[in-house]
Amino acid sequence: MMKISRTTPTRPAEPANRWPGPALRVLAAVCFWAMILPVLAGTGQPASAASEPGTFLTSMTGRAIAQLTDESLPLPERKARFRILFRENFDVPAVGRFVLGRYWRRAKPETQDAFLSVFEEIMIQRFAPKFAGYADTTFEVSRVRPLDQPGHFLIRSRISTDRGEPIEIDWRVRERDGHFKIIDVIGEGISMALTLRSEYGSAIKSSGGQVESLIDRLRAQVQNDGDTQTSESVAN
Amino acid sequence: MPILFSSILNGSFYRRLIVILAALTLVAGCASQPKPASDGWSGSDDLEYGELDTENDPLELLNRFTFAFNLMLDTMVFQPVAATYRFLLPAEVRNSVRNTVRNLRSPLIFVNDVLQGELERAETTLVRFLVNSTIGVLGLFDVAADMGYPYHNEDFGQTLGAHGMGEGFYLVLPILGPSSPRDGIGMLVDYYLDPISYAADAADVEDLLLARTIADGIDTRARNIEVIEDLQRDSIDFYARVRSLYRQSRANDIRNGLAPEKSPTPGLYRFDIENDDENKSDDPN
Repeated sequence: MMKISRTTPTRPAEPANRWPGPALRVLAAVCFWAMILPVLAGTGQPASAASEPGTFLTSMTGRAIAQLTDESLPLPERKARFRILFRENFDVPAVGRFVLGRYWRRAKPETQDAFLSVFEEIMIQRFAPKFAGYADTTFEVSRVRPLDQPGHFLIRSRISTDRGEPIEIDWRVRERDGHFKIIDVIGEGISMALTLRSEYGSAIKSSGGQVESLIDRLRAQVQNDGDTQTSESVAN
Repeated sequence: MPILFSSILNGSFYRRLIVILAALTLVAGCASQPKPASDGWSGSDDLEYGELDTENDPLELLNRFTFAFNLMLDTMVFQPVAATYRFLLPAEVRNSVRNTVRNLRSPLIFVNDVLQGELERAETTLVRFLVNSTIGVLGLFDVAADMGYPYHNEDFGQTLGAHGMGEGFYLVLPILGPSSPRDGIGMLVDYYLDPISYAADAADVEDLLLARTIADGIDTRARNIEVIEDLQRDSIDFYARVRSLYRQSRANDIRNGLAPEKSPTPGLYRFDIENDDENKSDDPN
């Protein structure tokens, strides 16, 4: 199931090569080619397209490692750099829509915008400090798999550092207007988008379906975390 | 904790068999019910997708209560114990604790590998147990991993899941934490399946499984101190977050970490609402 990487999803998958008897050889050959041809056709056409999301991701992480791992970088500068990378490479509106789920459509446009802006803030606050001291990180793309939804790819990567075991992260990347953007990050089978959707959905529901109250709580959290981070950097 | 029943049941094979059969009957009963889309995402293909059909948490009120109780227990007992354990013992010793716990679990993992028909993984587990119990000095060192036989975990809950049984619903157990009827039954069955518990009985070693469970709990908690802090700090609804994490993690364990056959959980993602930007302003709602 993991071994098929570049085959088209709809493909006759009858393994015929193990059949005994010479009488079945012709049939076996036909089946063999029926299996092989889509693979060949597959490699012919999306070879460049399929490697592109991988290249996109490698260059993005390369820049992240180069720009964000310096431990002496002050937090505001680190955040500013991360913000630029994040906006360029993450499809914040798409992730935000997905995370709000059914509440997205019910929300007023200004509420949607308010949510997206605080959501971006939360992401930056959460992830910007994480890169400090990981300059020795190596990042390899091990597999790029086109998904059923057109333009969607699942990219498996392996991240190794000096400390501890290498970890495997899957990235869900979407191509739109010739640009790739990340729409989900999945580690050990746990999707960030799904987890947030489930959590935010539950929070909205418990406040009677009001997206506004979720936004308030997220804002309060940004505020709180900002305060602790400032006091930490002062203490250091 | 299943071990607590040991004094009542006194470990006789006959009684254990009855319990296994009873559990299996219960399982069969659950399994024959219309399968509640195991991760609950079945309705997500509709336009009005969302969390409604995904929670599958009929006991939410009770669960939240138990969850709060567990959190309090964690703050007061488990986290401090784990932090002390990590502070006092060097990494090598802690690794040996983990290795020993894993080695003591491997006969059970082997049984579940076989029950899932995963013979290659069963072989890996068997080699690991033989190598680590001997060359690895009773499991203190994970020599087998260096030889290309990495550790993997299995339990009877996963075995049931691998055979297509849904989780039932979300259930938070006191002390043991996030679970489900399927995984709870799995835990119980594991106790009666575990070759180590029979070996411990035969050798008259008391409470070996209890010791293993506690060591495992402390060591795992100690390895996740920062992760859990992080998860808790930036969460809006920690209960809902943990519920989602547990489900996804179990689903991943059941798939043995492999990617789902098609896209990750078909119908799950609806990033394909491509026209939303355009619709945004003229959406009547």
